[in-house]
Amino acid sequence: MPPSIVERYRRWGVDELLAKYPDLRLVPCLDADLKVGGELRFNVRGPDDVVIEDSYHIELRIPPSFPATVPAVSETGGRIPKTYHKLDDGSLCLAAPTELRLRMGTTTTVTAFIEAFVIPYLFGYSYREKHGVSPYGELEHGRDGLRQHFASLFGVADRAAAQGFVRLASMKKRPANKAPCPCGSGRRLGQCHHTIVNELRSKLGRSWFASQYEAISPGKSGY
Amino acid sequence: MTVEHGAFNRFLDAVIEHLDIPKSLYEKAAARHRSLGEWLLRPESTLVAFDPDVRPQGSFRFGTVNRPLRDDDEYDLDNVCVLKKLGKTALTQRQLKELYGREIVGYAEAHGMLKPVTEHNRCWRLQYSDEVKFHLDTLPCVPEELSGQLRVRGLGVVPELALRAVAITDKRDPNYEKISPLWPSSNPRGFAVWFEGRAALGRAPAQFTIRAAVENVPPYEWKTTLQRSIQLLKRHRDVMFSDPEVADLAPISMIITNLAARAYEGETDIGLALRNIVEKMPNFINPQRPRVPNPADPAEDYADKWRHDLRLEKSFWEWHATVRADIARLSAAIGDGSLKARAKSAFRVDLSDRELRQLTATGPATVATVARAAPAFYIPSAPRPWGR
Repeated sequence: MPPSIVERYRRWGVDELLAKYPDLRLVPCLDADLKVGGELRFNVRGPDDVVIEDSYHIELRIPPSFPATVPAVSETGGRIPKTYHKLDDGSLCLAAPTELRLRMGTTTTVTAFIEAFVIPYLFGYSYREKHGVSPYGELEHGRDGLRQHFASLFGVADRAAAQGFVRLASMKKRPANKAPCPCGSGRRLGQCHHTIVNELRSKLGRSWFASQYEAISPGKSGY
Repeated sequence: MTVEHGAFNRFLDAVIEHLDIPKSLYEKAAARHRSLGEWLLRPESTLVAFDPDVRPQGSFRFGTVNRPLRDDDEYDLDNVCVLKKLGKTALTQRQLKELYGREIVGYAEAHGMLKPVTEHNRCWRLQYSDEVKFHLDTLPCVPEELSGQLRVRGLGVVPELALRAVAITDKRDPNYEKISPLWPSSNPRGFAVWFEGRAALGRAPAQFTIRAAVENVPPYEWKTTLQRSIQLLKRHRDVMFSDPEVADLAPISMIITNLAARAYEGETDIGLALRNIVEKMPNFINPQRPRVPNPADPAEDYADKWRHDLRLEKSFWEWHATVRADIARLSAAIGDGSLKARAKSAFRVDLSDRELRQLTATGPATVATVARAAPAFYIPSAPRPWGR
């Protein structure tokens, strides 16, 4: 027997999810995913104290490997256009992959996932409908958006420097610390931005940054 | 008892009223079984010497039939025919199945039934084409020998149920065409008697005082809280798995009926019964095989298919979590304006405004029009959305 389904759903907090969001339901599906669908209602006070009460029809597919794997979320009411932040299959692109990974680290239940990613995303869209801008900002699409995210993650303005940091995070600690710091200070990483690089490397692993480096380097992948 | 509690019970009663079939349909079903039994006992029947005994089985026997979800869906009738004077060693499973099949085909012809009789792994199916669509699955079997009954008793089953154990035929069985003492074993009649005992826990004491009347009332007319709870649970299951794509993943009625009857503790209050049944059902699922044993033959596992398809167990738990949440949601929605929509989504039942008004009519006017507030958050910062 694989780890019991009951145990998995308990860890994911399925009962709590259904109790807190009375308009969401479990939807039977043909594969091993847990499918959740229905209306997600929320009331959010955003960064500038604007309060928005709204609801969206959504569908989540939570794979058995959750929370290591991020659920796919789609908006089924046809309100959010394809040109907004979506993946090719129409699912919502909630955040840059590295940010998702970082925040997923503390996310163990479906409710926590919805509240950390889905509601902020939907609130962001509602806010944008009303005010024309996104309350938390938006990333550009594709590779540029990833570089933009890494620049803010490493605290630099220059996207080329961000790329350098990603490369160093994909290397072993010692040689990385000896390399010149990508911020342009002229010092070695070990005497400059080493804290953030080492912290992220130990959190997400070198191979994660290697794959991200591929993703942001021109001509290397499909982004 | 709170007003809300009473209103919730009235709500469940109203839903059940929508699910109930007319008593005449139960009577019609009973007549079908009788008619088949009489056919098998007519002088020229090839089975008359073996003393055939036909008894109803399934939801028509248990009194848990619902109106089908779609108008063109059929009602399933089940019965069991024990050939009391036949034993396993007298013939092969195949010979019994075919002997019985010829009588069933003869019955269909004699009654002008146009649709062909079809053979299934264990039973024969007769198709009726009346104004009400029925099909009848009839299961031929022989009594289990003493050794078989003792095996069942050895598993902790009381003699009264164990003596109803039967040997059935199954086309998939490796001994199907051999004379062999190894026939598949089952105990549908033992289960039915056990079930009736569980349902009787909830019969109002008044019903017991008129003893003669009690004995004349078939279990399908008792309408105890157990039977009514099972109707609600089955309906909820039908609605949740109504998409044809996932219909085969729905928890089977026998699993729901079995678990509900075990979990039931004689509550006469429908709301209480339903809540307790749903809370306690999981306690009766074993971690190992048999996962959901027949109480009248614990070697028989109603969840046998879970071994071969993990999705079936997953579906069961998803249904269970959903029905549990829906009961809480419905009870919280009494008088908040969302009840009508929630009843529709959980049971696909359309309650009229009059029915809705009656739920709270006897209590103080607590009807609020605003539904529960959406969860509120303060989100000062959040991920920026990205895209490929």
